[in-house]
Amino acid sequence: MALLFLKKIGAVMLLALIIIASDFAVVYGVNAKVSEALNNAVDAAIIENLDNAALTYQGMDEILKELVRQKFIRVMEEELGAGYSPAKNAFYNNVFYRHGIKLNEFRTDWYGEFPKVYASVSVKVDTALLGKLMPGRAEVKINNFDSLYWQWAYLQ
Amino acid sequence: MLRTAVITVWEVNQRPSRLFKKADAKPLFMVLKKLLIKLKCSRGAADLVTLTFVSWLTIMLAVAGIDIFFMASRFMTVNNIAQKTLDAMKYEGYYSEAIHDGFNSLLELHGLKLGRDVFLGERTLEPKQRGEVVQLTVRAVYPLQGFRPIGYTFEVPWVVRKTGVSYQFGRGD
Repeated sequence: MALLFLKKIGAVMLLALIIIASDFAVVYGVNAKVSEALNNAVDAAIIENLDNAALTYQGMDEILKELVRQKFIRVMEEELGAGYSPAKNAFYNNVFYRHGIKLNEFRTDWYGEFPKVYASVSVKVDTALLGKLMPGRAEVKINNFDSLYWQWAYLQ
Repeated sequence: MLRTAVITVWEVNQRPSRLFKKADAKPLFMVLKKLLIKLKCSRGAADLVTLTFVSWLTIMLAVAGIDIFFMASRFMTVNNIAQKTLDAMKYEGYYSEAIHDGFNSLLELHGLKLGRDVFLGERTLEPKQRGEVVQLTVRAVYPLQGFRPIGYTFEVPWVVRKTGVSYQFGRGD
C-alpha cells in the first residue's frame, strides 16, 4: 500500500515538474525571442538614423526621429509576427503576446557624430503554474542600448 | 475517517490564514488536503494492473520531463544558429550560397540535419539595398518520446523568424 502511495506522490510531483519545466521553457523562449528581436530592431534603427543623418543638417530632426521609429517598429513587427497598436503603444498577436509587448521607451540621439538608440520593452508571460507560485513576477523587461562606433571602420 | 478529514478541513477553513487571498477563492490548503485524501485512497491497490499502470505513468512522466529540457535546448540552439545566419545575411544583403553552407555547417556542428530536424522557410534570396529588410524563417521539430510506450509521439514544431536590415551598398549594375 505504501508503495502505491509513494508512486502516486511521485507521479503528481513529476507532473508538477513537467508543468514548471514547460513554464520555464516558455519564459526563457519568450525572453530570448523578444531580446533578439529588440536587438535586431535597434540595429535597424541605428542604420536608418545614420543613413538619413543629412536631415539633421537641415533642421528636420523630428522627421528623422519618426523615420527611425518607423523602421524600428517594422523590424519588431516582422520578427515577432505581431502588429503594433499606436493607441496602446504595444505589439500584439493572438499566440504568445496576447497581453502585448509594451514599448516602454524609444529614444534616438547623437553622440557627437555617432548615432545612438535606446529602447526598452516589457512583456507579460502566461504560465500554467509558475505565475501562480510567484504572482506579479511573470513580466519580462528588456532594455537595449546601442550606438554605432564601428561603422566607419567597416566602410573602409 | 473521510468525515473527520472533511471536518478538520472545514475547521481550518474558518481560521484566517495567509493562504487565503480572497474571501471567495478556494484555499490552497483545502485543495492539498483533498489531493492527499485521494492519494491515500488504496482501493484496488491489490490489483497488479493498477501497480503496473502507476509505475508506467511515473516512468513516462519522468522521461517527458527530461525530454522538455532537451527540447528547450534544441530550440535555443536553432535560434542561435538562425541569429548568426541573419547576422551574416545583414552583411551580404541576402541569403547567399556561402551563407547556406555556413548555416549547414553550424547545424552539423550541433548534430542537427537540414531536412530532418530543421527546415528552411521563407528567406531573402534577392540582394537588398542598404536599409532594406532581410528575413530568414527556420522551422524546427522535436519529437517528444516520453509517451511512446502507449503509442503516442508528439512532434513539437517551433518557428524561428529573424528580421534585420541589410548593411550592403548595392551598385545597381
